[in-house]
Amino acid sequence: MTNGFHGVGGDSDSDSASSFGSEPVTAAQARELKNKEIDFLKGHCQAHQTTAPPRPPQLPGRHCLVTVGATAGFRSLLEEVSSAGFLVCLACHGYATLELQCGPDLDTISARVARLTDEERCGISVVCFGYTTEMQSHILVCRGEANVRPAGCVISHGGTGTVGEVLSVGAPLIVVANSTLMDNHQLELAESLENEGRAVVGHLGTLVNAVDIIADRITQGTLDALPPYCPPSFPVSAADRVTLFDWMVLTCYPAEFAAQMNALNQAVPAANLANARLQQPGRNGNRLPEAVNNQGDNGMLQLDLEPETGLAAPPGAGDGIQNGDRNAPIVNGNGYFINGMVQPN
Amino acid sequence: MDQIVREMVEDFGPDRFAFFVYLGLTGIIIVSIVGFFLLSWSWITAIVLVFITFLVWRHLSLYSEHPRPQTGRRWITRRDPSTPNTAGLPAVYFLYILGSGGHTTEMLETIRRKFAPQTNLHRRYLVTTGDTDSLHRVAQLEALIRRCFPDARAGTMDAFRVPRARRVHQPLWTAPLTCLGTAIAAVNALTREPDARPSTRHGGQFKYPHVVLTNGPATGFIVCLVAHLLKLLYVVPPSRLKMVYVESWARSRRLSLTGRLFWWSGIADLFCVQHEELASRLGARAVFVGSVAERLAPPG
Repeated sequence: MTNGFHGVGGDSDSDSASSFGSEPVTAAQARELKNKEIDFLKGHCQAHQTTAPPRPPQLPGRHCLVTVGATAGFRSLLEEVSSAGFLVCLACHGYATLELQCGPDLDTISARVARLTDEERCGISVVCFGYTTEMQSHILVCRGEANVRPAGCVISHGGTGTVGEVLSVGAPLIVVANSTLMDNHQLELAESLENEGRAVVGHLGTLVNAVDIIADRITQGTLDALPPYCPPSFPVSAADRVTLFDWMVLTCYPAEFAAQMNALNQAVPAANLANARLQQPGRNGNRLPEAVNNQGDNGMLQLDLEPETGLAAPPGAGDGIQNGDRNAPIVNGNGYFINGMVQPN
Repeated sequence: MDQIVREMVEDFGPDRFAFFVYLGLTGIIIVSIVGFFLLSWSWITAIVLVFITFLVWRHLSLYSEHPRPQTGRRWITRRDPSTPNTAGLPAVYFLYILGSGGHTTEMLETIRRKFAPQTNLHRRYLVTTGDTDSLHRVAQLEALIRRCFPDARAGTMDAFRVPRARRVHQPLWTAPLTCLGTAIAAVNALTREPDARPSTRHGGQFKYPHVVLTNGPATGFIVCLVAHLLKLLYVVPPSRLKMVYVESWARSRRLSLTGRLFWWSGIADLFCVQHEELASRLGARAVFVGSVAERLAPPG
């Protein structure tokens, strides 16, 4: 099992395999060592190739995109992915292109890539750029679609913008947390995504393992043959629209707010009135008739409607519920209460 | 389309209201300095104590009027499109505070997910100086809105630039200086009436934003602090400048630094989190709203 290849990438100043021994090595010996590493890696890849996903010959090669975001740089990630060992691994899995979005480190990384020999590149074309406003188009090339292109992968820092965009496009994702940022907050996102199975966490030094895992997922799943991408519609459908902030605007007009709450109250079927608890903000807000309002505190816009259809309450939704199942809020995966009239999708 | 946004971005422009605020502040500072030298210590202590008590009392009275979810219940974002109906209101004025990078992406996604065409809409964006990427993306979103609704239902918009409260990797001890710069510009951004909605046509309905929405950058906290101060001192009526803080979608276990500041200071009218785990950890005051900032994935 191969472990970290720190020596392969080396530091930004030199490519010599200085981590393999403390005595100074000549340039020839360094090249020799490096070729041995590459052969070792190719051997490792051969072992993996039997399970590598077969690539239909008429489709282009897989596309790998590495992005460090638009705000802070992430030089260590870029150095690892521009190293020979990583390129060998990509070539073994059928990748033909590697795109590096370098951010502030464009010059350093371009120089580093230019120094790679043809043998180290293994036939992969490496492209570097600094920033882009069309990140969506770069990510789209990594999404596998039936008869168009095989699935690639996106290796990204742990920023919510990039990660959200990659997940919404449907490309395989490797998240590498940038630990230099404030209290390593990117690690939290990376781990929660891995728990949900939507991404693979990559660690600096062992990115080849993450690429292997992605290759396994591609073989086992349908990532190579997704339908053509269609972006979400705008404006979003009324069922998906977030109305929370409109409630806040309504609270700025107390009279209108009260009127709409009353109208809402009227619309609720009489059988549900006993379960609906409607409150209004402020100590002097209008109170509802006593028959409905049995909470004395100045609570807030809470709306628990008993559904008319028999949707089962998810387990664990019952904290603080007094009356058992009849008052259990019905929640779908997005955290929205479902009005009984709306059909679940 | 980008040009439209660039024309509308204003720095500290001529505005009588903000000017009077600064004039008043300078006057108060001068009077305080003079009083410090002329009055005895007991007087100074008494005045300072009275002032602090007043501020604390005001803060608590505003805090008690915050909407608060009941214990054990969760907030609802209704799927019934008929309520809430804001189309009949005289004004719907949102202020969006854009940080950089992922903050902007989340905020723009939230705006996309909540947009409904109405003629009484006004959107004001706060971008930080030097953040051209956010400005560009705002221009793209606005162009999209105008393409979908070429008539007046797209609403109006403008954008303001404020100095950044804290750059990435900036040491925290230098933050107070930069935050002061942000605060000074924030007064202008909060109180300047939109040019597209003058009071001659709309009364004073568009004078102050109804809802200030922010999701994480330090600039957001400073601007909300200034807004809170304006409400404390009776400059802005309490039915305006409602502050909503939405914690980032990336935060499922711990609050960010800005989130912690909002939580402990209690200035947000609504404190939203996007993960249930975090909501249960925080307690009743936090509202779980689901993923309002995540782009909906296509089927397949």
